[in-house]
Amino acid sequence: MEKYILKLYVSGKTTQSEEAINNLKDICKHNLHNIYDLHVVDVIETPEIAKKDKILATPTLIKSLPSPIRRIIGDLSDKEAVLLGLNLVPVVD
Amino acid sequence: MKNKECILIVDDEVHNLEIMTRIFEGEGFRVVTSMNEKETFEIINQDKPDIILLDIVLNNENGLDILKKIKQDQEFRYVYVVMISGKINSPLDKAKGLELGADGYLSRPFEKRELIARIEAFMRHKRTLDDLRKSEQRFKKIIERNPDAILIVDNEGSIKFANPAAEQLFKITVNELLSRVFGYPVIKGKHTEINIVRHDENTVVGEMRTIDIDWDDRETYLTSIRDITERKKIENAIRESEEKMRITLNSIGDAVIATNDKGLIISMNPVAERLTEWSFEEACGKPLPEVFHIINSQTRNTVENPVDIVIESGKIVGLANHTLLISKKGQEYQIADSGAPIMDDKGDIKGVVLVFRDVTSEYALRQQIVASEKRFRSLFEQSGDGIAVHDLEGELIDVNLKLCELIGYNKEEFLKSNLIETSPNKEIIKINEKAFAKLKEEGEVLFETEFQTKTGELLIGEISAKVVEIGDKKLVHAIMRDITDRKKASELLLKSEEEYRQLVETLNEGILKIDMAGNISFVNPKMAEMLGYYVEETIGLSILDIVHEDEHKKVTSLFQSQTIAEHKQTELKFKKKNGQIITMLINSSSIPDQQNKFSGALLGAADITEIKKVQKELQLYKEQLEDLVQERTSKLEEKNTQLEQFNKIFVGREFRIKELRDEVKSLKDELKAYKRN
Repeated sequence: MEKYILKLYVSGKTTQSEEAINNLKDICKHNLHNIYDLHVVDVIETPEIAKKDKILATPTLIKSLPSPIRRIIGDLSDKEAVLLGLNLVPVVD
Repeated sequence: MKNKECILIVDDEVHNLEIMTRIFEGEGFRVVTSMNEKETFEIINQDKPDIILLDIVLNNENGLDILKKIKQDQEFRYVYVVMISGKINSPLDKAKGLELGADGYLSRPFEKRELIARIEAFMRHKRTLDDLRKSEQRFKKIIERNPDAILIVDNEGSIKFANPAAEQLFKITVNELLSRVFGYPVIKGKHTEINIVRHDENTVVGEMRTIDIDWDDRETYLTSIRDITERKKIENAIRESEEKMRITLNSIGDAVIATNDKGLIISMNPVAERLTEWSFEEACGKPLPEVFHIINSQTRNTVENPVDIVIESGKIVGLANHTLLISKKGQEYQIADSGAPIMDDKGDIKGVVLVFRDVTSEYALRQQIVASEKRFRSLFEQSGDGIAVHDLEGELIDVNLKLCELIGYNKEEFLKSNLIETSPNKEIIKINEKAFAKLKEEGEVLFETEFQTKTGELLIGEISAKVVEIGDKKLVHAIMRDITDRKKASELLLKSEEEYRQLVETLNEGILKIDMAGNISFVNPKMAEMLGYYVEETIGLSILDIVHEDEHKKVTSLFQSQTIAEHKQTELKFKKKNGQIITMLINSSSIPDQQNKFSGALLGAADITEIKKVQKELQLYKEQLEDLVQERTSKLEEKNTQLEQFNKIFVGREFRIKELRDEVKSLKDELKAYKRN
C-alpha cells in the first residue's frame, strides 16, 4: 500500500493548532492504516516554507502522495469531511 | 412620451425609414432615424435607443462596421442591435453580423405584422437581458463592495474569483490570487476560524464560511472570510478580564451573587455556593429569594428582597442588622451584606450584585461583648466605690451610681460638667490640679480630697486615679472611696494613741520595745532614766548592750526560744551607761505582726536593786536570828538539864521552872514566826 505523504500547516502553538494536529493524527491512525508520513509546519516559525508552498491560510493540509495532490483548508474536526476533501473513502470500522 | 421604448432605424433609403417609422409609431414606439454612422452615434448617445435596426448595406458605409464599433464601445456595447439584410446579402453577412455581436436578424422583405411581432419579441428579449444585466451589476457591486473577502474556489481549491476585500485580506492582488490554490474548504455551511498567512508579519484571524454554488455550471464553493482579528483581540481581552474577574470572585472571602434586572441569578462565586448550599448550576436563572433566603434573626420574619430595594432605589444598600441567611439544608448564618446596582453606560440598571459574608462568629462575639459589657457595667454601677471615667482634660465620660449617690448629683448633671468645675471650692480644684499634674506625669495618683455634696455636706474621698488606654484614647479611671468615717475613726485613734503615749511616758515603770533581732525600737523616759541614757541614745542599741554580760546567755536563749513572748516575769541584771549594775524585774509580752507571728517584744521593767538589797539584809538578819535561836535553844536545853537536876535537888524551886518554861515557849513562838516569814 502506498504511503500517504501529508504536510499540515499551522500558525503557532495554539490550542487550535493542537486540535488540528490531534484530529489529523486520529484520522491517520484510523483511516490511513498508520501508513503515513505527517510533517507539521509552523508558518510562524518557518514563514519561508509557507511562502514557498504558497500557503494562504492555516490550517492547510496538503496530501502530496498518493496523487493527485490535494490541498484542503479549515477545521479538521469533521473526520468524514476531511476524508472526502482528501478524496479518500472513510474506512468503515 | 418619456417612457415609450425608443427604436433607432439606420437606413440610407428614406422610403424605408418612412414606412417603418409609421408602422412603429403606430404601435406606440418612439422612433428616431439615422442615415449614416456619425448621426447614428450621436443619436445613441443622446436618445439611448432600446433597439437599433441597422441595415447592413448603407451608402458608402457598411452596417457591419457600425455594429462592430458599437459592440466594441465600453459604453454602448449593451445596446440591442438587430441587423437588417436585403436580398443581395449573403448568409455569410448574416453569420458575420452575429459573430460581431448582433443581437438579432431580420431579412427583407418583411410583412408588417411579422415585423411588428419580431420587434416585440426583440423588445422582450432586450428587457430580459437588461434585467439580467442590472441584476448582474447589482450582484457584482455587492460582491465587490463586500467588506468580507470573497473567494470562489473550485473542487481542487483553485481560486476562480476574488473580490477587492480578498486582495486586502491576503495582501495579494486579485490577479495573483486567481493563480493560487486556496485549498478545498472542508467544512461547509458553518463558521470556522482560520489564520491568514501574510508576509507582512501581521497575525490575522479570519472567520470563514463556505457554501456550495454553481459557477459557470461547475461545482464550486463560495468562501467568505471576515477579518476578526480585532474582535478576537477584544474577545481575548474580555475573556482574560472575565477570567481575572472570575478568579478574583472565586478567591475573595466574601460571597457574591449577581442577578439580572429581573432579580434572576446570573452569577455566583464558590463562597456564595457554600453559604447558600446551592450550586451555581442549580441556582442559575432562579429568583434571588429562592436561593438567598434571609430572615430577621430576632423576629424571624422574611426580610425584603435586597434586589428589589436596590432596583427601586438605584443605590448601594446595606442589609439591616440581625440578618440570618438560611441555607438550602436549613443551616443558619448571621450575615452582613450589601447590594449594589449593575449599571450600563447609560446608567440603566442591568442587575444587582450582592456581596455578603458569614458573620456568625463575629455576631456571637459581639453578643458576648455586649453581655460582657453588661456584666462590667453592673460591676461598675454596683461598686461600693464611686467611679468616674474622664479624659485627660477632666471631661467626664461616665460616672457610676455610687458616685452619684455619694455626691448627690445625677448622671446627667455630672456628665454635663467638667470634673474640675464640679469641684465646689477653690482649694479642691487646687488639689485636683496638683493630682492631675501628677496623674499626667506618672500615669497614676492616690490622693485624698474633700468633696462637697449637693446638699453641702463635706465628704472626704480617697481618690485612686489611673490612666488607661482604651483603643487609641487615653482615659482616666478614678475610683473614689468615701473615707469620711475612716478619717473620723483614725482621728479618734490618734487621740487615744496620744493618751496612751502620755501614759507610757509618765509611767513610773520602764517600757522597752525590742524587735525580732533584739534591737531597741522604743524606750520610755523612765526606762532611759533607769539605764542612765537619753531616750534618743537608746534607739538602735541591742538588748545585749544594756543587759549585764552575765545575762547574755539567758537573753539570747529567751529570744531563740521566743519564750520572752510568754508573759514571763523574770529578773535581769542590767548595765547602766555608767557601768553600774541594776537588777530589774521584767514583765515581757510579744508583739504579734499582722499574720499573728512573733515580731518583737514589749518589756516592762522595775528597778528592784533596793528590794534585793533589803532582801539580802533580811536574809542576813534571819540567819543571825537563827544562830541566836540555836544558841538560845542550846542554852535553854542546858538550863533545862540544870533545872531537872535542880528539881531533883530542889523541888521548891518549881515556880522558877515554870517561869523558865514560859520563856522557852515564847522563844519557840518567835522562832516559828520567823521561819514562816
